[in-house]
Amino acid sequence: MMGQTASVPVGVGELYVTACPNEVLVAYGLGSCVAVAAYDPLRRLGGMAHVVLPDSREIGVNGCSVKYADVAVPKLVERLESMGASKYRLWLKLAGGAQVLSIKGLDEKLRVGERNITAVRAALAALGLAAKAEDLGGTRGRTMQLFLPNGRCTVRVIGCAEREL
Amino acid sequence: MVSSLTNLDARGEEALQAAIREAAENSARGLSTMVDQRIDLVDARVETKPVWSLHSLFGEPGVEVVAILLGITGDIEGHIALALSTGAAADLVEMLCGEGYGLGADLDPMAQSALGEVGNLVGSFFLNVLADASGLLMMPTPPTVIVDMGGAILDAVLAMLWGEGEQVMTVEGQFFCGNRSVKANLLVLPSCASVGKVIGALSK
Repeated sequence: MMGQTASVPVGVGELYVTACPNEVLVAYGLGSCVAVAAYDPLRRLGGMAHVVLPDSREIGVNGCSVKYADVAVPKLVERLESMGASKYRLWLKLAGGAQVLSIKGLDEKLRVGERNITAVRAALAALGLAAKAEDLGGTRGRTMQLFLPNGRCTVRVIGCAEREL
Repeated sequence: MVSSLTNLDARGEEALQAAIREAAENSARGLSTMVDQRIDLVDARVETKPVWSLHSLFGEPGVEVVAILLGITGDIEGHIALALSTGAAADLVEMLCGEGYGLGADLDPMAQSALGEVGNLVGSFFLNVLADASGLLMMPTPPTVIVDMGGAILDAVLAMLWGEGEQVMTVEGQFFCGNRSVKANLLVLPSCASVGKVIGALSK
């Protein structure tokens, strides 16, 4: 019999990996951020990265931070591999990258969501990987959950029923 | 950039705190005039925080809020936001549009316009005082009214600021309208560079 599940929030700019079967990883309130969920169905372990910005090389500081897509994606895969996962078995799912906020005159600066989507996909492609499912873009915020017992992934948008990804 | 927030000169910070408190109180006065009821600003404070903490500045990041946002342009850059629970937003709309005019399931154009006006007024009254005190040009952009998850609304602002440094200066306060208990959180988020500019101008 399965024990009680424990919700583990994965905050902005954080990365979390686990083999604990009763954990549910949650990225709450994703706007322009992109959550990357990864699950190895054979080893039953998984992780999530909450990406905030696209490219650490654009900024030139804090280059090792997992808040950047180009750092977070390879780090997530690397950490899961170090626990025994195979990157080719991973179910990779993405959510977020919306443009929730639109302010006249500042739109260009606020268009981070699109750039995050492109950067996450590029970082996966650089590893020879692609997402199995995506819920990206648009103008609404999302909350994404990854259930460790079985790799089930859900996305919730305010005013809509939670859906499987 | 980070050093401009972590190594603030004590006198400069004091001048900034005083100017911001006055600006925030002025925005409460503006709001009082608009709704024709006494509105008090409680617990106005200026703080330096890690940028990542902005994600929960409106409360739990996955919970629905109504936010009125304005950009700040001119000599400085930043954002002003008023965040309300959906219940408080409905009360505010009723105060502005009349009894029985609550907030429907969706934000209709009338409610959106009324809340936008509140943001316009709060932002203008706030920036006028700060601009007068510093001699810097500060203009609010037209307001945007959004109903969504609190964390999602602030994500893009957080990303912009996190590209500049690890710390952010926040101005927070709560408006209370006595008998209706309409609580709204006021947030002012200047860019790192703008904080230095305002302190420099206030110190002259």
